[in-house]
Amino acid sequence: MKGFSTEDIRHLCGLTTLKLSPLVLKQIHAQLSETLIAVEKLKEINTAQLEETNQVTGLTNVFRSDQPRPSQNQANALSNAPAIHQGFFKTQPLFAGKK
Amino acid sequence: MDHFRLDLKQTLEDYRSRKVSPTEVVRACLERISATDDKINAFITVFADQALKEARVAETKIFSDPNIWKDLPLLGVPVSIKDNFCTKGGLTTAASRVLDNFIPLYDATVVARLRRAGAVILGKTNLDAWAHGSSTETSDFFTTRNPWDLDRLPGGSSGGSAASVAAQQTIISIGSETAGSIRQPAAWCGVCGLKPSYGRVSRSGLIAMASSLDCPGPVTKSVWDAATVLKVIAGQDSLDATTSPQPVPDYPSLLDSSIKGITVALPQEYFASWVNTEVLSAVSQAVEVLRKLGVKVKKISLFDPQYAIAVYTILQRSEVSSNLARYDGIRYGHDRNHFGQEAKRRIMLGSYALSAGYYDKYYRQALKVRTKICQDFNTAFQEADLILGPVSPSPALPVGAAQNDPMFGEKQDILLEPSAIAGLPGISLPCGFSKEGLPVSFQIIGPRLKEELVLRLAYAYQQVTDWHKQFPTIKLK
Repeated sequence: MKGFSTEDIRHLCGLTTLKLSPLVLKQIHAQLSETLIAVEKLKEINTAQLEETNQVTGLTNVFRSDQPRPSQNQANALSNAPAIHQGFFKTQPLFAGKK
Repeated sequence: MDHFRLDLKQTLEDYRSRKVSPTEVVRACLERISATDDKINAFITVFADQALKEARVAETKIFSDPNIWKDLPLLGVPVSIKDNFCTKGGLTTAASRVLDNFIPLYDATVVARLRRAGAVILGKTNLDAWAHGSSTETSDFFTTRNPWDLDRLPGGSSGGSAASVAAQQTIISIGSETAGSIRQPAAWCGVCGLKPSYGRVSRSGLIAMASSLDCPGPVTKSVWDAATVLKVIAGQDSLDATTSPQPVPDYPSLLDSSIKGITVALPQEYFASWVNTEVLSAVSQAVEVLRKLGVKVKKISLFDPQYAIAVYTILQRSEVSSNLARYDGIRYGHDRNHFGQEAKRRIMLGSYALSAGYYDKYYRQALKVRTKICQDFNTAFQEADLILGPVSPSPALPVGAAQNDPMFGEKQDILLEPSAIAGLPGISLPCGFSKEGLPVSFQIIGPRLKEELVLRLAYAYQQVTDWHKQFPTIKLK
């Protein structure tokens, strides 16, 4: 497959913390390679003299006054969480099984 | 009653003269949704009880204070909102399984401004999940249908918004565009879609897709309606540092200014052989209408839009991979296994383009070509005041067309991506029908923050044509 190897795709799954079934992995592999070929067109443009445009507003260093303002309380902040413990978000252990 | 058929202008006139009340109009829209949405599938959520309650409050205000309109210019007006705008206390899903239980704690700035202007939120409309697409077919929930032909797509990603306006389920709607997501579905559904300049309207509370491109905007039945809604939602916002500090013009009051002598440029690359002949013919006729109104027309050449596809694909995927990294299912929503295949693919390509060894080759190169596209438009606007062309290479495509094509959206939005990448304002408005009875539209693109000029030309066109007054007949049970 031109563009990506299966190993590339597995590596990207790790980088993006996405799990793919073997079937979806195969489909995505083909589709990503197709997309990569389409963007190769970028190479045709000589950009040696061009600056990058990260954003188009022309604004730089936008500041606002640092004034305290109302925020969400703890109960609200936790209201959408699937699991909480004593007023905190509950997460999976990062180092489970690694002692 | 047929109050759902009103446009915004007539709704406000009828409210002022007390010919109809907000309760009557909101109820008519809700009944229209009940009667038609099992076929159209425009809405993910309908806030029926809350909308009726708000309508009654609006009604009381209208009766108690005849001068209320200065402060509440959209009082009692029903609006549908694309489901990627946060609505406080109301389910907001971005049409993704990841967020199918997410209840926001605050309103998006656009939603807050609409509420502050008195608008009544009817419900939330369908989109391609996370706004990734141009068909509304990649919604994780269901496919929205085009009200003109139920076997066809409404376009996307604001397909639910455009379909809800075309099906006359609402008076106005709010969509969002990254590169085509307002103008393309508006074109396929035969309604008016305005994509403002990047930074003209706040992105705060809009679920981020590609942050250097995202732009909220109105989907409406007429240009006057779009101008009126833009006036309400535009302006600087301390919650979005990219919003422009420039004052917001009173767009509706400027619409009547003469367009005589305005120069409109037709880029030959937008009238290409790969654009459907019926589309080319309808757009050319629209140009002739404008010429008769005193508009000067000249042909120009723009940078090949095929390159914009490549730039957009890299920038959008890269920004998506960054924005969607936050969804871990810990604070809200579900874990990353709930992402659909389209989102997974975009996240992965973006991560690739941003990763060590490929950043220069793809992401940095795309940012440089973006500069070239911006320069190209700057040159064009030295020769002409506005640019005009087709919106989409074809009228609405059949349901299923987007499946298994990872570049479907990019191909459909090829004529919209260059101006979006440059952050320019553009409007899509209907100018005819194909032989199969599908709407065909043209777009007007203006210089940055010149929405007023874009709207003036579009308004002048609608004063002498009636394509925008035609709506589909939806066969009810």
